This record gives sequence, structure tokens and C-alpha cells, in this order.
Amino acid sequence: MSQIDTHTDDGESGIDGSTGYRITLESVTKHFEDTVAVDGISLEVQPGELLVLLGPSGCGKTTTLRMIAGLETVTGGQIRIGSEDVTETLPQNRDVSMVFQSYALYPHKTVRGNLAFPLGKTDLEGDAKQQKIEEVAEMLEITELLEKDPDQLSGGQRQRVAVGRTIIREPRVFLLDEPLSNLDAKLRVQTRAELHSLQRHLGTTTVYVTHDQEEALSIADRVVIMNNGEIEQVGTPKEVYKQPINEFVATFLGDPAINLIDVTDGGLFNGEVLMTEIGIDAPPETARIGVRPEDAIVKGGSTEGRFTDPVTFELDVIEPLGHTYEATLKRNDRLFSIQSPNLTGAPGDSVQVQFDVDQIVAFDSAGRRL
Amino acid sequence: MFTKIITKTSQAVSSMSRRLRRQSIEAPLWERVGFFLTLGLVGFVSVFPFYWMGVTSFVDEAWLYQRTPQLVPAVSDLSLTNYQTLFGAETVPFVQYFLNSLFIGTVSAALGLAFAIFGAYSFARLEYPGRWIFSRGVLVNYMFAGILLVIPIFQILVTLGLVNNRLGIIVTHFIFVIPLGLYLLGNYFRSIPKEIEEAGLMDGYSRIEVIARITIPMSKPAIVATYMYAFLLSWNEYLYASVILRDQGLYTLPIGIEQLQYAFENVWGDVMAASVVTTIPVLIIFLYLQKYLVEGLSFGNMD
Amino acid sequence: MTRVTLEGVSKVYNDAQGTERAVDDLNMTIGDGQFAVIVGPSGCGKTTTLRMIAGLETVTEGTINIGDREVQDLAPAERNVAMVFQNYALYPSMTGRENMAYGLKHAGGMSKDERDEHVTEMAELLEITDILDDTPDEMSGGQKQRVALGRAIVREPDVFLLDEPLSNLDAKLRSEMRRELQRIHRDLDITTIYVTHDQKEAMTMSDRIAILNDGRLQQAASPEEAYTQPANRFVGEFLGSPSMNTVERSVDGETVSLFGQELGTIDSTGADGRVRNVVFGLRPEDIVVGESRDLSATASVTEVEYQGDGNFLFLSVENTDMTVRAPASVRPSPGDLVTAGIDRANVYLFDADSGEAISLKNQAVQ
Repeated sequence: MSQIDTHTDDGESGIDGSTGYRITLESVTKHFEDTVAVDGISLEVQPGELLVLLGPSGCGKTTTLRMIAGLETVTGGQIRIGSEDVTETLPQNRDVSMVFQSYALYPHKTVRGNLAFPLGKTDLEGDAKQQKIEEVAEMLEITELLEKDPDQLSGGQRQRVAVGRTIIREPRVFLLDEPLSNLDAKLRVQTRAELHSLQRHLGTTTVYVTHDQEEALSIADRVVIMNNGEIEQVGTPKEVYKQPINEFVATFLGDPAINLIDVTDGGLFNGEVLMTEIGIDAPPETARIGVRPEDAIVKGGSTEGRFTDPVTFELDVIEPLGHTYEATLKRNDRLFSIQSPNLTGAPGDSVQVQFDVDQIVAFDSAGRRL
Repeated sequence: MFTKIITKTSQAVSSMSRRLRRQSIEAPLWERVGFFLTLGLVGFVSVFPFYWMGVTSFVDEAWLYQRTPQLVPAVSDLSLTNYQTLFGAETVPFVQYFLNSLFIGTVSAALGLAFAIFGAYSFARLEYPGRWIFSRGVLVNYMFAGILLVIPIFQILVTLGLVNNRLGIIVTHFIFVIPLGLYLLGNYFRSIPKEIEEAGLMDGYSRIEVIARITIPMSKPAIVATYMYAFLLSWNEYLYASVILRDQGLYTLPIGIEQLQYAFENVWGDVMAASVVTTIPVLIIFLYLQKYLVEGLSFGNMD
Repeated sequence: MTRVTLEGVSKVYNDAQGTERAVDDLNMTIGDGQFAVIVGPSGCGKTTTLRMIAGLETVTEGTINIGDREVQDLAPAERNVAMVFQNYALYPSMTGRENMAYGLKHAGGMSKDERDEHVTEMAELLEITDILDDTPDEMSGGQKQRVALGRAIVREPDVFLLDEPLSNLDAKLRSEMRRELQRIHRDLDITTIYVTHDQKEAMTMSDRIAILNDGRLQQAASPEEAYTQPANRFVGEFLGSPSMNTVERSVDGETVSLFGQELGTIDSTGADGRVRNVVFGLRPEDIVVGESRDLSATASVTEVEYQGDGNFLFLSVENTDMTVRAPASVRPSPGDLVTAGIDRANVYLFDADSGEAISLKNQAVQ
């Protein structure tokens, strides 16, 4: 079998001055028999960038990743890595590597064997090969695990080995499919930051798939939000969170979810006045406003900036998180969730809340942001 | 001494019953008693024939036919006469039968396994038109009793000039090994996560290399189980061997044992001694490889 | 009056590998109508404890009381408890209605009409009226969850047991159901014991939280108390996300210092008279970046994560990694040097050997 080309002539200057490869998707479509999994998406991943594909299950994000990997055929459109068209290239010849959700370690090989396996297709031999393995193991702090079998490792250790196997060959592109979803919450925060640093350090163009919005916002240079096989919005984490292009994006990001209120529904507060206050001139009977839970403050907190007049709610459910409280408030049978560190009281108590006018977003009847 | 045994036993029983009680709050006594009675009965029915085979092979004919039958022979009744007759030069070429069976079993199982690995992989992983028909069709083979196919297969072998020939019986056994081999291995391959093979592709290896370096090493239990199954099928097969093989020099063990009965009178001892010798390799293989067998078969059944 | 009391409850498994104490001398009281959560990492014994209360596991030692009855030797059916399983365990061939009515039918004493009425009532409370005639495979995860709850509640048990009931739901649905369960509990007022490995679920839902580790009870308290006054290092690190930062230091005489600054003095003679090592616990939200506090140090920023409502900063202070939950306005870049500070009152102290919380001399308990 042929050795993988090293493609050294094709890299570009990446975002941090590192050399990376651009990935280009042009009107890429994937059909599975009658269903359309990916519906003509076009996307450019910048050299050295960490791009996250985010969306609910079935949105086409994993299929997209697998098409870039070559593990799924492309029904229509073109995929390029650097300037090379790889649409029809077999996965083993694309020089990209992948971390699978299940890690997919080779169970019959030791950690060393797992790390060595990808090197079998490179020029590295003997000592140089062992040295490379030691080097990667050290970088990921798994040196003392090298002689163990995968089934002797904890989840976090397996994850590291999977990452090691991916980076050891120094491929053109890293693909990561939900790499943290099998870790417990604590380890996830830790590993996420480490993965982020590692990617920046290596400067390799990376496509990362997750369904977890917190993970996406945390780690991404840019986030692509997908739904029903199409791209809803591409932007930096801050852009997509603060300026969602539509209600889907607004609702998908943030936990607890953004509150969406019909402008004409007088049950909570006077929406028309609010619309004027935030300076949006739209037919109010068709608009909805969105307020993030953390942009509502309990009266008594600091109100630097523009805030609405206090609105009185009844406390329905209060949930301590330690560093803050989440609460569901009730007014005229409408529920409203807020997040605030200085909340007290028991269900049934009344709470006065003010809203940060500058953070409020509004949507038209089709769900597009005004 | 005797009281000691009784105390020990009663201790064991009470600790056992205590354990049983703690196992579950619900199960009433009659349920537990019924459970163990059934278990004992099934155990007895399956083990007794083997016991009797062993006993018969080590006693004289006279002991078998005595007026009041006994279950346990006295030490003085035991002898190796039957085994001496069996391996004695002047009676039957028993050693030759043994070697024939060994050769035919080894070769037909190896061929069947090699074929089944690639066939099963294609059923489990590859997409091609007609895959469903092939993969199910192969199992249909099992719905026919072996005897139905004797004549067609015999005719084919006649045409090919393979009657009374080791290759003929090897090919026949190979045919019968294939369906279950495909089924067992196919299910095992399906139980291997697809991503592990995909990881191999992403690491730069071709499909064939991935099969050789990842799939096959990972499937060792199923491969061992399939090989054993194939070997035992050939080892125990009587019908086709008796039809295809004519020369005494080519006989396998099952026909050989039958020949013993025809050749002599009052030969229960000899036949059972031959059976013991036939069973021993099976037992050895089983004890040695049972770990793989259990794993391979239980995976295979999870479809 | 359905109080649940566990006294000296242990569960020992004997097998070829030896003896394993899955639950070790557990003492716990759950008050009438309380919502208690048993939380801990996997293998801590929480599910075994719940199953012992349900009667699905035998109790090796100790007693369990439900109300005035000692129940540890009773069959599950005699305990009048209802349980919701992680995988819902609905009868696949029955509709939602039949699933819910089945337990009632089995218990007897109710006519068919009465049962129907009961089921309908409960279905309304759970908002599943329109799927009552679907079979489980036609339902979504959330709907199955509600039917499973309905099936348990409709029998009006003395105690309601839930084993990780939300873990198969996606994040959005999970927070929704979390609140829903609290409303249902408020309406029905049934003593509830809820098992989870998720500290967030535990914190948010419970009146009383019991933290288990290695089969032993670490602390039982209100969620806020357990968060602000952890009994030991395990509880401190287990509750809260991102988890508490910990730094181990040796004690110089009686003085404990962190990053070159004195925090205070402790009673440094342990039971064995040796000078102890201490572990400092610093919650990510208590560390302030860009300002000096009682204790301050220069830190280099290794990673910054955007969180929508704020940022997580990963700092390195004298080779110690620290996670900080910072407001949105604080957003340094990786590689920056910043000042990180914390107030003395916000520093937790644990004995490094035993893990027990210790307090500074002349200072009120935090």
C-alpha cells in the first residue's frame, strides 16, 4: 500500500502564523436513500482554526465530519483540503485523522501499539518511531500507561490515548467527533481546556463536532450551528450567543434557555414599550422578544446600564447551583426563567425583576432576528 | 471420621441455605428445592451416558451381562483388555482411522474457516446488491436434513471423480461448515464497533490491511470457536463419510467404530473403548479452548 | 407520616474476588414529605442503597424503617414504595394507560372505572393525556419518562424512589423535567428519594442532599449548607462546576500560607501529634481576576473559554492550575499575566491526610 503523501507544499499561514490547511466545502450534499442528511452546505475552515459543528442530533453535523474524513461518500458538491480536491479520495489517502466518540482504540494492542499503528504508514522507523511515541505520550501525560491495554484504562486515559493516536502522525487536519461526551462533567471541563491548548499549540486545522452548546462556545474559534442538514449561522462564540440570527440559534445556545415572549402578550410586561426602548421598529403583532436568564436581575442588584422598570413575579421553582441560583418565575400563568446569584426566597414569594435593555433581542414572525 | 463428615456436610448445607435465603427475599422454599431437583435431573441425564461409556470400556463383557446389573464395578473387575484389542495389530487399523479423521478434520476446518472469514466480513460490513439474499440464503442450507443432499452431492463427487477419496470428504465437510461459520463470524464481526475499523482507515491503512491487522486479531474467540465447531463436525460426521469412503484405509473414526460392530461379536467393550479414544481429543480441545468457545458462541448468538 | 430511617445499614457482597462492602454503616433520616437526593460518583453505593429501600436488594446489616414499619425483611410488594428506573422499564406491549393502571389492578381494591379515573387524573397532572393510548415505542424519551413517573405515582405510595430518572434525556429536556419533578413533588407531598450522579441535579432538586463515596456517607445537609460548609475535601470537590481548585501545602508550625501569604493559624497537632499538611480549596467563582484581595498572586492565563454569561479562565499560579469563573467583562488572552485574588473568608481548608474540613483559629466557621 502506498505511503501517505506529506503534502508539505500545500500549507498556508494559519491564524496564529502556524502552517495549516484550509478545508473548503462547496454545496456539499449527502442523501441516505430517501432522507437528506446534509443539504448543500458551503463552508470554509481557515488554516489553523478550531471550527465547531454544533447542532441537535440528526442535524447532519456528524455526517459532514465523516464526509470530510472520507468515511461517507459525497452525494453532491466538492470537498477540498488545501487546494486538493479530496471528494473522491479514499479515507486512508486523505492524510486527516480523527478522534471517535467511542475512542475506537484497538483493544488487542497496548497503548504503545495504538500510538505506533498510525506511524506504520509514515517514514518513521525503529528508534525515531519509539522516540515519537515517547514524545507524544509525554505531551499527553500518558507515559506510564504505554504498556497497558485499553481495557485497563479509565475513560479519561482512553480519551488521551485516542487524542495521541490522532496527533502522532501530524496529519493535515484533525477531526473530532464528540470527543468529550463519554467523560464525566468534571473531567470534561479539564480536558476541554487541555484540548484547546493542544490544538492552539499544534496549529492544525481542526473540525470538532458536538451537540453540547457549552462545549462549543468554550472551545471554538468559530461555531457553525446546523439544523436539518443546513447551516443556520456561522460566527465566533460571542457572535452566535449575543447576536443569534434566528430563534433556533437563540434557543439552542444557553442553559437555561432564552425566554421568548410574544410582544403582544401583555401577560408579562408591555412588549410594545419594550420594543420602543430597545429601538426596534417592527409590526409588534408579529414579533417576539428574547431575554436571556442572566440578563434579568433581581431588584437590588447593580443596574449599571439601561434597565426596564421592575416587574413583579411569583417565585415558582428556585434551584441553587452553588455559585448562582436558577429560578423559574411565574406571572399570569406565564413562566420565565432567570439566573441570578442574589436570589432568595421560597416558592410562592414575590420577586421583582428588571431586564437589561441592551441585551434584549427581537425576532419577526418567521423567527428571524430584527 | 464419619461424624466429622456429617458435621462438615451439615455446615455446608446450612451455609448454602443461608446463602440461598439471602440471595432473594422472595423465593419460597419449594421453588428453591424444585430448582435444584431439576438441575440435578438434567445433570444426571447428560452425564450418565458418558459415565457408562467409560465403565463399559474398562470391564469384561461378562460383567456387563451378569444377572444382577451393577452401576459401579469393583476394582478387580477393571481391565485394559478392550484397549489392547483396539490397538492390537491383528484386529482393525484403529490408529489409521484416528489419523484419517485428524487429517480430514484439520484440513476441512481450515478451509471452511478461511472461506467463512471473508464471506462473513462481506455480510457484516460491505454493501453490495444481493447481500441480503446471500446472507440469509446460506442459512437455508440448514433447513435440509443432511440425508436429503446425500444423492446430489454424491453425484457431483462421482462426476468430479472424488468418490473414495480424501479430497471428496474434505470438500463435503467444508460445504457443511460454511453456513454456521458465516453466521457465527458474521455476528461477531457486527459486534465489533465499526469505528475501530474506521480508525484503521483514518490511520492510513487499506480495507484489506484493516481486516488482517485489526478485525481478525480482535475476532480470535469467534475464529477459534468456528474452527472447533468445524473440526468437531468433521470428526463426528458419519453419513457422508460412510457413503463416500470405500477403502478401509481411508475410514474415519465414526465409520471405523461401526465396522468394529460388524466385524466381531460381543464387542461392546471394544466399541466403547474406541468411543472413549474418540472423545478424548474433543474433551482436550474443549477444556483448552473453552474460554474462547463460550465467548465466541455467546457473541454469535446475540443478533 | 412517612419518615424513612436507615440505621447502620450495610451491604456486603461476597464473591470469588473477595468481600466488598458496597454500603457501609449508613445512618440517614428522610423526613416526611422531604425530597432527598443521594448523590455520588459511580460505584459509591447510592443505587444499592435505593434498591435496599425498595427491597430489590437484601440488607446485610442494619434496619430500614418506613414510617413505623421495619421493612428490611419484607418483599418489595409489601413495602408500599414505588420506583422509577433509569431505563423507564415500561411494559412494551401495553399502552401508556395500561402501563399506569397495571400496578393499581395488581394491588386490587379498585373497580375499573375508579382506576381509569385515577389514571386520567394523574395523566392530566403530568400532561400526558394525549399519549395515553400510545405504546412505549411510539413515545419520545420525555414522554416515556412521564409515563414511568405516572405509573409510580398513581399507586399513591408511601415513598417514591427514583433511580437516575433523567439521565437518558437530553440537556434541555432534563432541566425542564427537573423543574417539573419539583412541582409534582410540591403538589403530591410524597416522601421522595432520588438517586443521581449529577451534582447539579442533586443541588437543584433536593431539600436534603446526602453525598456518598465508597459506600460511606460523607455529609447530609441542605444543598446550600453542603456547598458552603463541606464536611470534607470530597464534598468540596464533588459539588460545584467547575470544581473547587485545590492546593496542597505543608503547615509551618501552626501557620498556613498560600502563595507566600499568611492565611492564619490552625491547631496543627493532629490526633497523632504530627504537623499536618493542609489542602486549600478555592471555588472558581470566589477567585477575582484583575483585583487584589486578602490573598493575591500573579497568574499566567493558559486558556480562556467563552461561556455566554461569563468566561472560564484557566490560570497557572506558581505551577498550580486554577480554574476561575469570571464575569463576561473579564476576558484576558492566553499568555497574559494577571492578578488573581481571593478573600480569606472564601478559602476552604482541609486536612490533607483525613480530608476533614478544618477551621482557622479565631475565626468563625465559614
